[in-house]
Amino acid sequence: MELTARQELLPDWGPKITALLKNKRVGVAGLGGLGGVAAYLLAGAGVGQLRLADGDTVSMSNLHRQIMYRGSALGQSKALSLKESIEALQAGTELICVPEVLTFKLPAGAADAAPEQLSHESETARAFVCGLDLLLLLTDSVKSRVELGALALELKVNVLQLCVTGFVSQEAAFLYAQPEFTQQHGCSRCFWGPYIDEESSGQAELKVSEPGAQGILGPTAVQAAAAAALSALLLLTDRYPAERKGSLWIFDHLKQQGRLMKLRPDPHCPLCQQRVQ
Amino acid sequence: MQIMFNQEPVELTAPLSLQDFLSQHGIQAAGTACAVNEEIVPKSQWSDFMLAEGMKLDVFSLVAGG
Repeated sequence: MELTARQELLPDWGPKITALLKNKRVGVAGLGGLGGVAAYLLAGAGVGQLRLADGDTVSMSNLHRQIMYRGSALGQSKALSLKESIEALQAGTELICVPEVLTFKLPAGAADAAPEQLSHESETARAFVCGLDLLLLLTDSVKSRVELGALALELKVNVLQLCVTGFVSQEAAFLYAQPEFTQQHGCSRCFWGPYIDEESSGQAELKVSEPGAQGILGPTAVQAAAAAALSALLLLTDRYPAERKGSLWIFDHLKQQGRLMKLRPDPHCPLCQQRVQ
Repeated sequence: MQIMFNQEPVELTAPLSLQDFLSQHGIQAAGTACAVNEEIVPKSQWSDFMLAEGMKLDVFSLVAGG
């Protein structure tokens, strides 16, 4: 019995789709509540290659929502622990593991508050993103979302970004592989603005013991992670709903209701709008 | 001039940019996004974007957890 047997019973998700997914390469940056569960589900769906990156280790306060990690993995690298969990699925997924935070030095003029970074770090990120069919940006900081979003833009790799805090999740697909996309909808830098915002607003996720850290229920995080995995499968099989393309999908997990806002380019964006001005 | 602000009617007595409106309501730019008629207005345009009769303004927090 194949791992995808139940999935293949669905209309339009038969062996042809399994074969298509087998040829897809998906990067998952951030292996916490969103990325860890999403990567596991994508392996189960038959995605051929997964690249997994996170510099964090498993801690007790993760386990209520990061259900692919066990208590026995406390203190271990999330990337390496997730690799073990996915290997146990015996899905035949090729796994490339980067147990570190991916960083990318933004081009001059785009990094209002970017710290200087070593070029070899950027090279790790570049190798991670290069050749992907889809990059899932599921980290817990605006900085990494802006940086890796910029790299994906340069390499013309489609990005699915999803964030969750409290009872709200926000999803956006940046389809950089489509030539007209940034002219109509901009890029992740247009969306976030200069990431100096992060420092002033404390948007980076704080450790649970730090003042100002935000809470989340396990079911909320897992629902958002499953939504990310489903959206990834829809993007990989070219079935992502048309109205969601170029939009921010804001989902209220308490009301179980969502709404859409169209993404628009920042005409002054140094990353995606310079050439068209 | 009336606009809808987060689904509530608000009366504006003088022409107002989006940035001025936010400042008057004590809303910080950091971590905030604005949409007018369900289209996000990039932050760099907030100062130039003039609110007009009947516009539907949504101001919401961006979330960043993963």
